[in-house]
Amino acid sequence: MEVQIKFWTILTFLALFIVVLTLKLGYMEHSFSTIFQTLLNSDSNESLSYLLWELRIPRMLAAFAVGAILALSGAILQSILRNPLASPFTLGLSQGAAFGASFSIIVLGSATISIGFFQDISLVVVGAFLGAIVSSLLVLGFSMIKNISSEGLILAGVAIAAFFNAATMLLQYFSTDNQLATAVFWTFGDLSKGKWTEILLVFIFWLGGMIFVFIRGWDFNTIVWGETHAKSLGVKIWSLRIYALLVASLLTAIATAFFGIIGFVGLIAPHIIKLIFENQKHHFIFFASSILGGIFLMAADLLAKEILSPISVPVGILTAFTGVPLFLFILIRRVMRGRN
Amino acid sequence: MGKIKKIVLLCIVSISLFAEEKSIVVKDILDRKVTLNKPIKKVIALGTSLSYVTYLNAVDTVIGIESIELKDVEKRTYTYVNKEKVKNLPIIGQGGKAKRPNLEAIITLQPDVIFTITQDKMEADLLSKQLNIPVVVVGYGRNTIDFETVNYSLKIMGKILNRDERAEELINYILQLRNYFKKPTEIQNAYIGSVAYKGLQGITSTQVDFMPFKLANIGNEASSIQKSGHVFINKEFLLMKNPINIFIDTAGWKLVMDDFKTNDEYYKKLKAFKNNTVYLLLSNTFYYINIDQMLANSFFIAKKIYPTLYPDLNPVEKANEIFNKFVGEELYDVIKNDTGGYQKVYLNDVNELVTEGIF
Amino acid sequence: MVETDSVNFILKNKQILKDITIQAQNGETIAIIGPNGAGKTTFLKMLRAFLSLTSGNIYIVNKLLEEYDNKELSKLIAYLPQTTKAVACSVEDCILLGRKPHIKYFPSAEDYKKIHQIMEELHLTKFQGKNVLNLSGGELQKVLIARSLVQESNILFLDEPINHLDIKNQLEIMDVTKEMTLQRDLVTFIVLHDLNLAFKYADKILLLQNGHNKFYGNKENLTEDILSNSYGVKINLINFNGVQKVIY
Repeated sequence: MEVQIKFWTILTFLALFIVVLTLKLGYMEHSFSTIFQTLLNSDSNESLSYLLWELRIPRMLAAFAVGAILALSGAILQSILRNPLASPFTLGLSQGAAFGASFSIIVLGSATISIGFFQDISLVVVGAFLGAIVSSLLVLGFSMIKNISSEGLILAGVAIAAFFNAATMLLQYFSTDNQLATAVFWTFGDLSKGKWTEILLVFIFWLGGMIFVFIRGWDFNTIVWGETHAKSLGVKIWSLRIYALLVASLLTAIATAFFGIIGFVGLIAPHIIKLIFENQKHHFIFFASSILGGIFLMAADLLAKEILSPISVPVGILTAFTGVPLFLFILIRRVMRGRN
Repeated sequence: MGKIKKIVLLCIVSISLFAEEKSIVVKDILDRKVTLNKPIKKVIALGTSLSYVTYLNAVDTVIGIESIELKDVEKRTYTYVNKEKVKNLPIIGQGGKAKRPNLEAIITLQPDVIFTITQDKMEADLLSKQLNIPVVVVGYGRNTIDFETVNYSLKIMGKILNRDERAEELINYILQLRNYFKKPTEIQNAYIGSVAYKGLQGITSTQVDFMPFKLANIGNEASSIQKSGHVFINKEFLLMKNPINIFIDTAGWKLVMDDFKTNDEYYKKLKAFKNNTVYLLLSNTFYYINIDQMLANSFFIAKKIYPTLYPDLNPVEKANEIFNKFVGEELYDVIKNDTGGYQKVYLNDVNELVTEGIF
Repeated sequence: MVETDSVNFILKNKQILKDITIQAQNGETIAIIGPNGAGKTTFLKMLRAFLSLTSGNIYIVNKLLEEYDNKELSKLIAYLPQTTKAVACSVEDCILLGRKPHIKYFPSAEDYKKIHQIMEELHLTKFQGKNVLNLSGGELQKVLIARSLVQESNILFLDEPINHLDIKNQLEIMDVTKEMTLQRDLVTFIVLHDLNLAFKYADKILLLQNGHNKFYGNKENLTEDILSNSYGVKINLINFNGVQKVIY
């Protein structure tokens, strides 16, 4: 209990801190009071109000939504595959999305299409989404091989990732200069590329994911004990695995389709939660990982915006640079504790 | 009463007429309909559309630039002449292909219009939506130069920036240049190497529809491979074709020299190198297309291939004329100081690859 | 009630189990013994439908094993595998997993009551709130037994549940298991290596050697000769204070 209180308190303060900084920092400096006033009364400073409500706040919300959804996806994958290395990146989902996006940019010329009610949908978004789904279907296919182990599935994921990487490289080799630049930059991930519709969709999918894991929460709690134990307790392992992979893929796909590839969040957030909380059930792990992932990405994006201002560093680079040492730190701590 | 009514009516009519003048609608090169409120006083030019703004003599309307415009200023004529003018302007982003600008910076500066060069309609629309500022997309052509696109870009930018006459002037001038070239009785072929493509390249990088060749009525040795676009040829292909005339883009010259160090035998087999008919051209592309240098190159090439057709043509003078027309300064010497200008390549007595300035 | 009829299991052209026919009633504790590789674990896995038999029939509560789905079986049979890689979780949650066959989405107050009950019965209340990873081997086994028991099944399959435990823990766990078997009228199969414990606690013994049923029946009828032949070492049975002791 104590740990919980400490954790949520610190996290809340951190979140508030980041929110305040995000609102305050930017191209021009404004005082806290100005910002506060403008938020409450948009007429007092129209241009600042626009800046806050149309640029800073959406971007911040996008960071939270994407971070949360990627963390949830990573947590689901790590649980269902009982492998701490599982993440959208290591299973080829991100690479599938990158291939789909590159295909749209290079072969289809990144036009837009209109499907019924939805006008002007970017083909790049559709391509990225389908690419992630295709790679997840491949992972799913492998998972249905009788008696395939979790390790086997990770290996299959690595192979799928490699395949899509190669396919993307092939596309890029035959692309024009402009197409290559667009395709490459897409893979860096950019949280300014979406507005309210995209952010809302990501939130909705995240919510859907949370509902799924809450309903199946006890299945997850059981399956981490191993397949024999889980089977003997009546858990439908195959069906759980398939649904979980499907859900995790959809979560990754929607975020990646709109905002590009942002790595490490899905890997790190669940690890940190499991490190801090030893006894927790998966209901808590999934939820806490999401929140932590969201706040982590908010912080990373803020850093990305400000560190070389006015030039923006792609947030995916920052998550890697902050994520990797964090990851190693977790690893070392785990080993040290294991020794004791 | 009647008089006052008339005055009021007059006022209303003039105001409404004035109001008509107040906004213009253009269709940009991606077929986007953009409405702008005149007068356009503050401009931001992304994706090196600053080149067009410069050619149209409207740089004083620019209120913010990408940092890429401050780099390698001698490599592009428009950046060179803007050196002093823009160096103190606020930076609104990095610039370069597919990189997004700093949205907050642009919003803070409140431009009346944003120009950009891109193929991505979604990005242009998103930018416009996020900033609530009209975005007009211009360009030089999809993958190579397309004069229709160039003319159209000049026209709509001229309209927006109130430089219609200047736009007209440039369009006519370009047409004049294109019509200068004569049709020879026998078409000669040539090969263009070291075409910039995703970076600097060596001799195997060529452009099948190289515009200067097309303008000067010269056959492209690589046209048998495919109809258009860039291609990396096989070294054997070049050996087999063994063209008499080889032109090399200066930008990639260093790579050719490095290649020569390990593969000198190959180059010695090429006729053009033995014959001293290898020439270095001004950079056609640096980050983006250098239209004035490309046009200048056409004249140099024409002079070299069909000397009898153009007895009075002095390529350097012509180059300076073109630069002067586009950016208001005769910049050949600046370019020559930076990368050597037009040069001849040959093998000296000790079989080293040497360049010599021609002009 | 557990019944098998001429069960055969062939894997990759090797006969792992041959013609096993047994019958066990409620309240009975059956020890499965035999040398390594005899097929003890395989047999237990077959009974739990984790492996498909090649030929023969298995009946659980008078119904063919094939006719049950896994969920039903998990309510009927509590199966504790040989090895458990402990996972970070609280003792309470670990035992709560035993209620999984009966839980739809979330455990009920009833479930929690049963957990606490079994923890009391097995003297595990002192571990409440502790992380399972911080328990000793014996303590973990007891928790797992508690988990199996809280499943409220009619049948208990324990695969070598006391292997690496010290004497005190071994006896404790066997005591609890025997007691529960009698109290709840379970059918309990335990794979054991320790022959003395087998003789002490079991009612019937199944002796397997190379997949063959060397003996099945009341422990009193198991002779030294059969034991010695199966194990390949000289084994003696001595009656000591009314308890059968195995000497080798």
